[in-house]
Amino acid sequence: MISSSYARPLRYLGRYYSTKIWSDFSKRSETLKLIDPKYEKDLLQGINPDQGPNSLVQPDRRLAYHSPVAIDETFKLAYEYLEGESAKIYAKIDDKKSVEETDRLLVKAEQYNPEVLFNIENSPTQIDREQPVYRKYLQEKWESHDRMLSMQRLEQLHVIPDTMPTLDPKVEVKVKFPHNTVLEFSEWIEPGTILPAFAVDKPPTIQIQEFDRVAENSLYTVLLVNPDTPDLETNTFKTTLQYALTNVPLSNSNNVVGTAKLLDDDFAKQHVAREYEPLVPEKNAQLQRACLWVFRQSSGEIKASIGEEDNFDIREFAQSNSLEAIGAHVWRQQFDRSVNQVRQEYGLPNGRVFHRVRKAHPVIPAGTSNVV
Amino acid sequence: MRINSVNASTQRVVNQLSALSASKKQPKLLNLCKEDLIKHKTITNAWNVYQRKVNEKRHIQLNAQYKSIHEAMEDLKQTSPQLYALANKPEKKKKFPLDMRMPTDYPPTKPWVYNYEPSQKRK
Repeated sequence: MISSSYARPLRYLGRYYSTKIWSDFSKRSETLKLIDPKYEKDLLQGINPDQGPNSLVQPDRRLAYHSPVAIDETFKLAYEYLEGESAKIYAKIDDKKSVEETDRLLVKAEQYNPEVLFNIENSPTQIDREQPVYRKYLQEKWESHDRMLSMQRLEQLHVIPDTMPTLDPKVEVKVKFPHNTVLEFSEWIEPGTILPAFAVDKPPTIQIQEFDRVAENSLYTVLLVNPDTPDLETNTFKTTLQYALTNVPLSNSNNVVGTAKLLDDDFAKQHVAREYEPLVPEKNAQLQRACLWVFRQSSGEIKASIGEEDNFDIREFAQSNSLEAIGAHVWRQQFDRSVNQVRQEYGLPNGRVFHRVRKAHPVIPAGTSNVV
Repeated sequence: MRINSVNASTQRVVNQLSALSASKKQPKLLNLCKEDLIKHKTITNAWNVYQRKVNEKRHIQLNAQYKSIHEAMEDLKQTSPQLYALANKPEKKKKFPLDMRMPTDYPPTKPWVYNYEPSQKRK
């Protein structure tokens, strides 16, 4: 990685890990290498005090920076020790081990590799999700914050149990609407955010990150339902299906259903079971929840098409097709001034205007005794 | 007057610490660049891995020692039940001296109590 003509000052430690396991990429994946080569010298050989570390941008801060005393020498010792341990673990991996066992050993062998640690800190979007060690760190990050937040929103907004009875989250589900130009709406959406209609008028990009190794082209179903559609006949609410993707093949690294796939005619024909139709809440209707559920298809391909019935029963659909709920996401919408325009875009009739009511709950019919 | 009075220098440190807020007493955050943070983490990881190995080794040795004691006692039980009973005889009066210090890695601040007197009860 460093040319031989490189004039090595005395302070530098040189390339002390040649012929060692962490610099040998004949058996290991190239993606375990440092992604951004500009940090390599600073990380593995020591920071040149005349130039300062590459990660600091401002020149004055760079020059004023001092590394802790003897960090490079200690790092060298630590690196050699950990590399030796890693080599011992690699020696245990052979063909007889099961896939899970091999993955566990691969995580163990690479989890202290400073290049891997630097990649996951510095360029988390570019890492190779086929590598179990990267998935382990992604999972830790997800479990420390995003999983809790998404479960909190799903429970507080009663997505559970209004749509599906419960959820044991296995995958990280991220949603964004990349057609937006405003940063606020084009980034990944925090679960529970209230979005204006214009921000959701194109189908979302959905990322489904599996953390365990999954078979190539495992099949997934994605359903977007609105459990807050007013049903005036029965004086309650019904659930409508806004978007459905079925039999979507995904893997650990190929895990995004985005614009590129949706614009592909073959993909759309095969996997879009119900065209996307954004929520268009009517005036004075309450906040509506767009609940996005991700299912693993445990019994292969879904053959049955989705009917056009008015009230969509997501629980019945999941049960009859033996779908296993593994992740969910939610955002909310209410009437705003872009709703009418979105209705026109999708050729929907003009919205109704409801009376303002004090409570967002259905009116309880007269004569019911338990009304105070 | 305080009941548990400490010496003057210690009291001064106590006063100084009581004047500082809790956040000031926190250890300082490492203000390092990204590369040095990863190096720091690697050094810590190596130390933890090393310590884990040392502890495992010690644990295995202690287990082996215990097993060996156990086996010896079982052997004694088979060969000579009288000696086994004698070895396991509860010594009622003989207890671990309560005044003895806990074994620690470092010597105590007050190594020897010259004017020591055992409490009246146990005389």
